[in-house]
Amino acid sequence: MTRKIIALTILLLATACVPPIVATPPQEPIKIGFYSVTPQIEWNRSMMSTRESWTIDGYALQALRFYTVGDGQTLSGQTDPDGKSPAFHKSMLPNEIQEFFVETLAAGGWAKVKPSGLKPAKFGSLPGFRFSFTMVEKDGLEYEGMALGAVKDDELNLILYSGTKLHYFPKYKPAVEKVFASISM
Amino acid sequence: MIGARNFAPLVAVLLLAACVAPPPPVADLKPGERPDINSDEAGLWMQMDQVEEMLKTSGHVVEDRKLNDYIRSVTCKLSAEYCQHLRLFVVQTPHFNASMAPNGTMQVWTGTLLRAQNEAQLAYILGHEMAHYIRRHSVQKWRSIRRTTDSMAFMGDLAQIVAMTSVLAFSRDHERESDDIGFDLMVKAGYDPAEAPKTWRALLAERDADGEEKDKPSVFFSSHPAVEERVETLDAKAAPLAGQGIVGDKPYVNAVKRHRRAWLKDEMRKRDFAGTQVVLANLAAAGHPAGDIKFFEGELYRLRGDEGDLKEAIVAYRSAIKAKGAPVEVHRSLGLAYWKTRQNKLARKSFSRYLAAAPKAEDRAMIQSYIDQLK
Repeated sequence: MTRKIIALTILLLATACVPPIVATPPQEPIKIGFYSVTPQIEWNRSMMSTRESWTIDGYALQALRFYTVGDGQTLSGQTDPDGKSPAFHKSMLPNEIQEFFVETLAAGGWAKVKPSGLKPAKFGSLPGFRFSFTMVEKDGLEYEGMALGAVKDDELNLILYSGTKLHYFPKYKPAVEKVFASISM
Repeated sequence: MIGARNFAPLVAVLLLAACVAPPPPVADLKPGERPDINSDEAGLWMQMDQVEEMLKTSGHVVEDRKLNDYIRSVTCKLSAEYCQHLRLFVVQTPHFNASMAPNGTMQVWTGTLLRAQNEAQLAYILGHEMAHYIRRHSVQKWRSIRRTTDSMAFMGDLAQIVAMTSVLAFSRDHERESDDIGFDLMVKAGYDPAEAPKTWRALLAERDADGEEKDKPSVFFSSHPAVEERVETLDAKAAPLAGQGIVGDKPYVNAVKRHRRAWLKDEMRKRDFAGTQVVLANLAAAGHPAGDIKFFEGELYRLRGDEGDLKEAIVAYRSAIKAKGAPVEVHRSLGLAYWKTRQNKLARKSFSRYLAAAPKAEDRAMIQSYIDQLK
């Protein structure tokens, strides 16, 4: 009996570490923090406390991630007491947020991270910004991406879409544009 | 601290370690020589061949033929007969390091290239790495580890600690030997020997720039001979010959200039701001354009963001604009710093200057929106 309880406890602890993956029903609004988005197609969705991630073919091929980052936090929502990790600060202007994002990717082992096309953009009804980027995975695979963000109540809200430059990024780019356009508050 | 209870087993382990015979001497690798296919050395080479294959497609390798050709030309000045058997990879990572695999795969990290001040210093670093290859240090170390750990396998944790200490000590001997040979190769190739100890002196200054870090030596410092010892040894060797030979500051600055800004951006991302200030001072002394160095000094203050840093950043950006060679982005950074210190008119002016200097800037629309907001 004791063995069964231990095994069950281990199983429960293990499953607690892996976020559940569910499908997003198309045309239905999905609430993410203070805003909602309405996907036009079905995505596989996994949720964690500080962000949630969507994909269709697998996260290594393409990923749509939604971040909410507080003042002084890293992109993953952690606080770094040593100040050695790139962190968001509420006084940052869009150029500096783009810089923070590039620094975060470089610190995560991505090579040749190159942002481009930073411009003002609406995040739902909020004034925000968007930009594109390219980067190379440590084994040489090229990726492309785009980001839409806005700061509200001292928190950075960032939606990132990235995928392999060949095939997977362009494949769902139009669908992600529709997700960006669907933001409502 | 080791108590009296643990003292007796420690003595026993040390005595036993002393009884392990050193591995037989290994002859130098001849140019073009490959190890016998049935040897342990051939196994090491095969593993390194696999690493090299991965390196070939790595996103971190800097693919710039001119830069690679330049570094290769310095390697060939050190030893024409060995250089044709080496494969060079410039790896984009902001730390000071270079490495040599037993099969002749040489990695030079961009953090090292950013820190070298001239061709003579680069020659000393490359000579040091070539010495590891010629003296077959990898196979010597591999055989030493095997002999030491085999003989201690039946003992406990303490034995393992002593074994590891022995391995690290052996590595330090290899580093000393490579320092010696690297020095001799650079002198023979006609470079100024006084530049060799300067390489380490600059690293020491960087390590000690932040008082807090001084008490926390890195793995590099703990597994290599003390840098102070290296400086002392090289100073003594260089003294009779100092000032004779090529320094090669201009060719070196010219060879790395296309990458300087990218490498400095990587350096900033380490967020070792005190160390980076030393790096910037050394670059200025080496003859890199003052405008560029001042710009990055401003970036350092802006990124650090301590109290008063924005004001320091503004001073540095303004100096950069007055000096030669600053990138056009200096106007954008100055604009950001002015805006954040509520100097809106000056911010607008700086952003406008940025757009005038870079009409096709990728962030033009964003900067124009800043100007509109500041009206």
